[in-house]
Amino acid sequence: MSARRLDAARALVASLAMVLLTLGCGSDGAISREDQGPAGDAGASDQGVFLDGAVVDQGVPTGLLFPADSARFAPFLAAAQDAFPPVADDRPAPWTTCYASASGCDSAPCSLLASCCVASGRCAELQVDALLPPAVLFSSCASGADALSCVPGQTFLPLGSSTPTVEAGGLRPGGDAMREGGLLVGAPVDLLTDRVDLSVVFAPPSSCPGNACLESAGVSLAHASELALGVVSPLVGLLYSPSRGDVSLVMGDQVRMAWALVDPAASFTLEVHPSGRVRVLRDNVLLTEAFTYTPRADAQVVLHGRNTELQGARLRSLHALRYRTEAPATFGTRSVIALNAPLGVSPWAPRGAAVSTHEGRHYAVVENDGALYRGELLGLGVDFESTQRVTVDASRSERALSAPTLLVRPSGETFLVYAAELTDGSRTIRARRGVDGPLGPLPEILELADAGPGHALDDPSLLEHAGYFLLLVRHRWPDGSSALELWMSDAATTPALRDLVPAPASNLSELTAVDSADANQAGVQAPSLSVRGGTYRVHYERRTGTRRVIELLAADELRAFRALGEVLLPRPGGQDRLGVGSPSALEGTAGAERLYYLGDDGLGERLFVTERPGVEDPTPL
Amino acid sequence: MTGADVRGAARRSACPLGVWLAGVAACAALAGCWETPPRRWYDGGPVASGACDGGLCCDGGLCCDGGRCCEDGGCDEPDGGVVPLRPRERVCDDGLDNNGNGLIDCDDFDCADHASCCADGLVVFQEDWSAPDLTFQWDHLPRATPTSPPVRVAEGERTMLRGWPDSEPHALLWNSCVPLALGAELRFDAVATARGSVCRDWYEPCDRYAAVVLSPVADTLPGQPLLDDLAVRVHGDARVTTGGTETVINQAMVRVTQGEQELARVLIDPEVRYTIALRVTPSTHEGTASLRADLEVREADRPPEEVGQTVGGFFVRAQATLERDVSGCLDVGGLYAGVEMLGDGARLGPVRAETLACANPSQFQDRPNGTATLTSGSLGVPASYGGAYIGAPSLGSSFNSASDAAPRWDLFFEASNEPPELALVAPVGFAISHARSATFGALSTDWSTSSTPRLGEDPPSCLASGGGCADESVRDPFLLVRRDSGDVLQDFTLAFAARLPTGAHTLRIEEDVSFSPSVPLGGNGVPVITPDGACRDLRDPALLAVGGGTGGYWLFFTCIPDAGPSYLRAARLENDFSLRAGTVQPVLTPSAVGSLASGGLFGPEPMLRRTAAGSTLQLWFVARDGAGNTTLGLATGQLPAAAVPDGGVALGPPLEVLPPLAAYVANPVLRGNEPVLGVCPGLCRITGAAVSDTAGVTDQLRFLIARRVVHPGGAVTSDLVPLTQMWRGP
Repeated sequence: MSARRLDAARALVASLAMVLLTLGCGSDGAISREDQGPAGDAGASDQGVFLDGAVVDQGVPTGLLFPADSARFAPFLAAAQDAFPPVADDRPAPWTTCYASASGCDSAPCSLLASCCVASGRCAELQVDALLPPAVLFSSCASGADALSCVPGQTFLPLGSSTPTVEAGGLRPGGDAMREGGLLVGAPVDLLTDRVDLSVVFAPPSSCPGNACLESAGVSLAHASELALGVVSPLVGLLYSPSRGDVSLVMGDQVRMAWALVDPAASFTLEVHPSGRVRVLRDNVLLTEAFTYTPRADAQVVLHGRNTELQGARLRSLHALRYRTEAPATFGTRSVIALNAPLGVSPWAPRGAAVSTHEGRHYAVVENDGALYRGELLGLGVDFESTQRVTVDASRSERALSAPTLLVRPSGETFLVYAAELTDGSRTIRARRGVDGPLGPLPEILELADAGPGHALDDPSLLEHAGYFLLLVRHRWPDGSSALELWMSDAATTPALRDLVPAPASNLSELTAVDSADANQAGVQAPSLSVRGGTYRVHYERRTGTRRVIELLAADELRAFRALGEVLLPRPGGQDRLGVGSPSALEGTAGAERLYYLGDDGLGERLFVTERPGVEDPTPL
Repeated sequence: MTGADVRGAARRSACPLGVWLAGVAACAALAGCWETPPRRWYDGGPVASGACDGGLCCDGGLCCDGGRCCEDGGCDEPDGGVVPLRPRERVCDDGLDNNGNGLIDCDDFDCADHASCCADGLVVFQEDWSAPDLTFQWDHLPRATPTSPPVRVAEGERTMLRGWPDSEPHALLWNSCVPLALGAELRFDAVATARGSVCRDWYEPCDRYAAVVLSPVADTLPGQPLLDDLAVRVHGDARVTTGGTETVINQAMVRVTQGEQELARVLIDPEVRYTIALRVTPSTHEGTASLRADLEVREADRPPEEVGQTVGGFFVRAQATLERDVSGCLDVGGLYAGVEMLGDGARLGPVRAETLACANPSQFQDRPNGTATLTSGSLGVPASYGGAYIGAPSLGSSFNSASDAAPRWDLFFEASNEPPELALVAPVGFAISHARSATFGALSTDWSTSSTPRLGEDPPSCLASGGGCADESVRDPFLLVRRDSGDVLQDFTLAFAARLPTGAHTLRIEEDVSFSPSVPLGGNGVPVITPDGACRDLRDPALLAVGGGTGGYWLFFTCIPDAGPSYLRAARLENDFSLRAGTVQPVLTPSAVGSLASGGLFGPEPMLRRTAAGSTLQLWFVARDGAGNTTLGLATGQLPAAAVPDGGVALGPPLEVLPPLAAYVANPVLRGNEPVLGVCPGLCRITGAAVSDTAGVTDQLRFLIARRVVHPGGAVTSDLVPLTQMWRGP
C-alpha cells in the first residue's frame, strides 16, 4: 500500500474511531452487521466471503486471506462463497472443515484446494519412463512362446522358478497347486509416492470341469521382497477365478469383492493411490472405491496364476500408468553435515541449526554458547568463522541469543533473525540486518515481535512471500502453555522488517497447542515455514518425553491449516535414533524437497540432510 | 493492519471491544503507536484453563456444553459439580467403576500399572557397593575417560557411594539393559548431604546430586550427564547460620527429571536416610502403549507399612521405542539403569531392580517351560489329511482327576492336505483333528493325536488330484470344556463350521464329544445358524456359557458380508444349543477397532473373568489391515456385580446380556513378526489364535497362535506357537 493510501486509511480510521467513541456502539451493544460497503453490493449484511469494501487483489481480499498462490487459490475462492460462511479475522477460515475427515478433500470445493493435493493420489503427475511399460500385449506372441522374451521390446523376470508361456494370445502363468507362476513387470515402484493404474484383459480356460478347477490368472502389486520368496501375497490385486466365474479384488489372502466375468473382452482396471485408496473399474465404469490398502515402497507389479490346462486361465494384455504424487513423508538417505568450529572457539557445541538458500548457495546458522555463527554449506560441511559471529548487544538488554535463522533477499539484504533472551528474563524476536549478502556485516538491530511481559517468543522462522514478511514463532504463555503462532508485516511497511503484528486467526494454535500441564514432557517447537506448490508448509518438531519427530502442516492461505502428521522419524540404529528436529525445508531439483534437521543419538546432536522425490504442484486427475 | 481490517473489526465488535479497538485504531492513526492486542483477538491461542476454544477443551477432550472447563479437565455442571472429561479409573482397589467405562479395578487397563494389579517378578540386580571391584558388573561412564572408582564410605552397616572428587558428572551403568515393559521397580537408599558450602545457584536445587537414571543410551560424553528418560535425583543441602538464624540456601530435595526437565520435587531433610522406590509400569499414553513411572520417598527408619511422599503418573517412553535386541532386553523392551553422581550432593546406598508382572494385554511371557512350537509333524498329524496345513486351533485345559497335579491340554484344529491359499480360486476341503498332551512338547510322542480326522474326510481336499472328494468340509473347531469346581473335566462340546454346497458355511454344534482323540466325533453336529441377508458366510464359532441366570450360551462368530470387511457377531443359545430368536447381534466392527482392522475381524475367542466386582468379558480376535497383515487384538466389556442384600461377596453376574465392548486402546497386542513368537525364517502371518485359562492356575491365560510361514524358496508351512499371559485381580 502506498504511503498516500496509508495516510488516507489512517485518516479514515481516526474518523471512524471518533464516531464510535462519540456515538457509542448501539442500543444493545450487539455486534453490528450493517453493510457499510459500496452501493449496489449484497445488502444489509455480509453475504459472502469478502468484507464489503475491502481492497481486493485478484479476487482475494487483502488483509483477510494470504494465498500462497493467488491464481492457484482463485478457483476455490470462487466456489467457496456458496459453500462456506463468511471469513472473519477473529476465527479460522471456515474451510477448516475440509480437513475434518479423511474424505473431506474428496468433494468440491475442498478438492480445489492445493493443500488437498498433498499426500493424495487425486493429484499427480504422469511419469513416462522405463519403470513400468505402458502396454504389454501378449497377442503379439506365438502360441508356446516363452512369455519372458516374446513381447517385442520387453524382457521380464519369472516369478520364482516358473516358466510362463503364451498360449492363444494370452499369458499362461504356469503355476500349480503348490506355487503360483508368472512374471514380474517392470521395476519396483514406490507406492508411498506413486499412484499406479493397471488395466488387464483376461482369457478364460478352455475348460474348468465341475467349476472346481485349479485355474487362475491375476495382476497384483506385491512386496518385492516377498516375491523373492517365490510367493505372491498381494498388497492389492485383481484375480480371475474360472471356478467361480468372477474377477476378485484381493488383498493378502482375502477376496474383498468379486464381479462376474461375463464379457471376456472386458478390461478391468485397478487404481491404487498413495493415500491407500483403491478403485476398481470395468471398461472405465467404477465398480468400487470402498476399500483401502496399506501402500509400501518397493512394490512390484506381477502377473501370476495357476494352470492345469494348456489353454488355461490367461491374461491377454496389461496397460500400466504411473503417476508421481506429492508425498511429504518419503524421505530417503540421510547424511551428516559437519559443523566445523571456528578457530579459537571452545567449547564448540552448536545448537539450533537452520539452513537457508540464496542464489543457489546454502548457508547454515547455529548458536553456540549464546552467540550466533553463519557459514556457507559446501558439500557436507560448514566451516564457520569467528568473523561471522554475532554476539549479544548489552545496550539492548540482550543476555543470550538463540534459535537463529537467515533470510536473504534478492538484493542481498540480509536478516539474521533470532530469539533474544533479555536481562529481565523475557524472550523476544529480533533481527540483525545488513545489505552485503548472507555473510556480510549486520550492523542494524531490528525489533520484530514482542508478546509482552511474561510471554516468550522463540524459534523464529522468517519467510518473505507475496509482499509480506511472515514470521512463525513459538509463543509461550506465562502459565507454561505454548503454541506456534504467525506474525506478519503489513505490506505497506516493506522493505523495512520491523514491528510485525499477529496474523489473523487460524487453527494453527489449535493444532500445535501444548497445555501447561504437559509442558515439561511434551513440546511443539522449531517450526520452518516455506512455500511449495501453491501451499504454505510448516515443518516442526514435536517432542514427547525425550523423543522428537518432525511433523507437517499445509495451508493455502494461512487461515486454515491441514495436519499431515509425521514426515520424519528417528532412525533405529542411526546417529539420529533418539530424535529428529529443528527442520529446514528447502527446494531440491526436479520437484524434490530437501530437509535439513538436527538428529540426536543421546550423546549429541548433528546436522543431517535428507531428500525426497515429489511434485511441487500436482495436477488434479 | 490495513484500514479495511480496522473497519471490519470495529464493525463486528461488541461494544466494549469496539471502543477499545476504536481507541487503538485512533492511536495508531494519529500517533503510529500500537499495543499488543489481547491474545484471543488475533487467534484462538492455546486454551487456558477455564475456556473452550473451537470445540477443544483444556485437556484436549471434547468441549463441554456451555463452554466451560475445569482445572482437572472436567466440565462445570450447572450445579457446580464436575464430570471428568478424560475418565481414568482413579482407585484400583475399591471395587468401584470410578470412570464409568464398565471396567472395575484391575479389569480396567488404567489399573494395569497399579500395585495391587502387579505381582513380584525377578531381581535384575541388587547392589550394596561392598564389592572390591565395581567394574565387574557396572560400566563407568563416560567410557572415553576412564577414572578412579567412586569414593565409598561406611555408614553403619551400609556402604554408601559418596561420588567422585571432581566437578563432573560420573555414572555407573548396569552392564545390561533392564527389562521394563512388563513393569519394574527400582529401590535405593539415599542421604542428602548437608554441605559446608552453598551450591552454585542460591535458592535453586543444588548442582551437586546423586541420581538413579533410566536412559536409552549406554554412554555419556565427558562433562555431560546421562540422558534421562527418567531420573530420580537427590540434591544436597546448604544452609547458612548468621546470628543464630538458619537460612536455607539450597534445600535438600528429591527431583524427578526427564531430559533434564523437572517433573516433580519432594523436599526432604538433610542427613536423613530415605528409601526411594521408583515403580515403572505398563500403561497407555494418548492411545499408545507406554511406560508410566511413580515415585515414593519414605524415611528409611519408618515402618514399611507407612506410606511416604508420593508423586507419579509420569510418562516415560512409548513401549514401541524401548531398547530391544540387546543383552538383558532380548524379549522384553527396557532401558539402561545407572547411578549418576556429581560432586558431594548426596550419598547413595544399596540399590535394587526387580521386574514386575503386571496385567498387560500387550505383553506375553516367554514360551512356558517344556512347551514348543507345534507343527503337523510334531503333532503327528498324518500327511493324508493334514500334511499341507493346520490352523484354527481351539484349546481346553482340565484335570483328569482330582489327584492330578498338572493339567492336560486338549487341542482341536483344522487340517488339510492342500494349501489353504488355493481357496482364492477354488474350494479347498478341511477336516478337524484332536490332539492331547500334558506338556505341549516338541515331539510327536508328547501328543496323542487323531490318526484319522475326528470330523471330516481323509483326504479332505481333492483340487489338485481332480479325484472324487466328498463335499463334506468342516473347519474352525471350538472346544467348550466343562469342569467341576476342582477343574476336573466333565464334558466336551464342539462347535465348528461346515461348508454348504454354495460354498458358504453353516455353524454346527456337537454335544457330549468323546474325550479320546482316537474316536470319531460320533455325529455331524446340529446346525445352529446359517448365512442370511446380513452375512453371506459364517465362520469361527466360539461358545461362552452364560453362567447362571436362565442358563444357555453365547455363540460368537465371524460374519462375512456381501460387501465390506468381516466383523464379529453373537447369538444367544438355549441350554440345548438352539438359537433364541431375535438375539443375533453385531458385537465388534472394524470401525470400532481402527485401521488395523480395516480388512476385517475374525476368529473371536471370548473369555469371562468373574470377580466380586463383576463379570468382565474379554474378546480376543484377529484383525486384518488394508494390506492383509494380521494381528491379535482385544476388546473388553464388563457387567457390574449385583448388590447382595446380605452384604456378602457376590460372584460376577451371569451374562444374560452382553456388555458393550470397547477395543483396547493400545491394540494390536501381538503382531506376526514379534520376537516372542520366535524367529521367522521368511514371512510369518497370524491366521488364528486359541485362548484358554489354565486349570489349577488362576489368572494365567494360555494362547496358541496359529501362523502361516513362507520360507525362502517359496515353501509355505503352518505352526502353532504357545504363549502365556498373566491377569491379576485385586
